[in-house]
Amino acid sequence: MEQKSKALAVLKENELIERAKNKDHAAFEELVKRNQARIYNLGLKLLGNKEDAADLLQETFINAYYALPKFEGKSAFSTWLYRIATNNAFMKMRKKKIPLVRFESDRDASEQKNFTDVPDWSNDPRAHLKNEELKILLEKSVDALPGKYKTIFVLHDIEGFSTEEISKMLDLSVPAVKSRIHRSRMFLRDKLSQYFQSHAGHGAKL
Amino acid sequence: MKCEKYLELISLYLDKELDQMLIDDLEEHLSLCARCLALFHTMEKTVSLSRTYYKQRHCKVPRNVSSQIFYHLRIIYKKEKF
Ligand SMILES: [Zn+2]
Repeated sequence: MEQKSKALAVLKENELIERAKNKDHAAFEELVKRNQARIYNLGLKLLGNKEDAADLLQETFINAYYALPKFEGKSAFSTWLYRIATNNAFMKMRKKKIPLVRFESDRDASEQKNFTDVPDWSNDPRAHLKNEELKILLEKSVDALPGKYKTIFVLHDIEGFSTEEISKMLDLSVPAVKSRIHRSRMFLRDKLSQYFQSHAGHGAKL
Repeated sequence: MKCEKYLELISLYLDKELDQMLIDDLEEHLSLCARCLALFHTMEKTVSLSRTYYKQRHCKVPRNVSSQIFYHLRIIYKKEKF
C-alpha cells in the first residue's frame, strides 16, 4: 500500500488521469492531494470563510470524480477542475443572495466621477502591506465585488490564469473577460483611492 | 482630451495585451495626461497589493477537511461495487 502511493507520487498528471479513468481509486486520490490546496484557497477567496471553502472543496472533487469519464484533455486538468469549482461557488453565492453581476449602484456612479481627481498614491508609504488598515480594506473591497467579477479578478490577477483559460472556465468571450477584469480593477482602485484621499495629511505628502 | 478611450487600454497595457500601435498611442497620451498616468500607477499598485496580500494568506487544507473528501469517496466506491 505504502509502496503503491509512493509510486503514484512520481507519476505525471496525465498518467494519473488515465489510471483514474480506469477506476484506479488511488490515482484519483493522488490527483485530489495535488490539487486540493489550490481549490481550498480559491474557495476561501471567493466565499470568504472556512466552512464554505471546505464544502466547495469536497463538492468539487466529488463532482470531478463523477465527471472524469467525460474529461477529454482538451483543456488542462486544472482548468477543468476550476470550471467545476467556480460553478459550485456561483451556486453557493446564489443561495446566499450574493449578487453575481450587479454592482452597488452608488459605486457605479462614483467610479466615473472619481476618475477626474485622483492623486497618484502609488508611492504613498501607507500603500504597503505592513499597513493593517489597508489589508482589511483590500479584503473588504474584493469581497464587495459582484460574485462573477470577484471570480474573474481572483482567477486572473491573483491566480494568474490567462483570459483565454478563464473564458473557457466560465463560458464567456475573451473580450467579456477582459472588460470584467478592467471593471474590477477600477472598482478596487476606487476603494483604495477613497481611503488614501480621506486620510490625506496623515501620512507623507505627495 | 478623450481620457475615457484610454481607460480600458490601461488595463490591457498592464497585461501586455496591447498591439504596438495602441501602445504608442497610449504611451503618448500618458506622457501628456497626469490623470491617466495616475490611473495607470494606482491601478498597477492595486493589482500588485492584491496579489501579494492573497499570496501571504495562502492556507494549508486542514487535515480533517481533507480526510472528509477521502471518506466520501470511499462511500462512493462501495456503492459503485453493487
Ligand atoms: Zn487622460
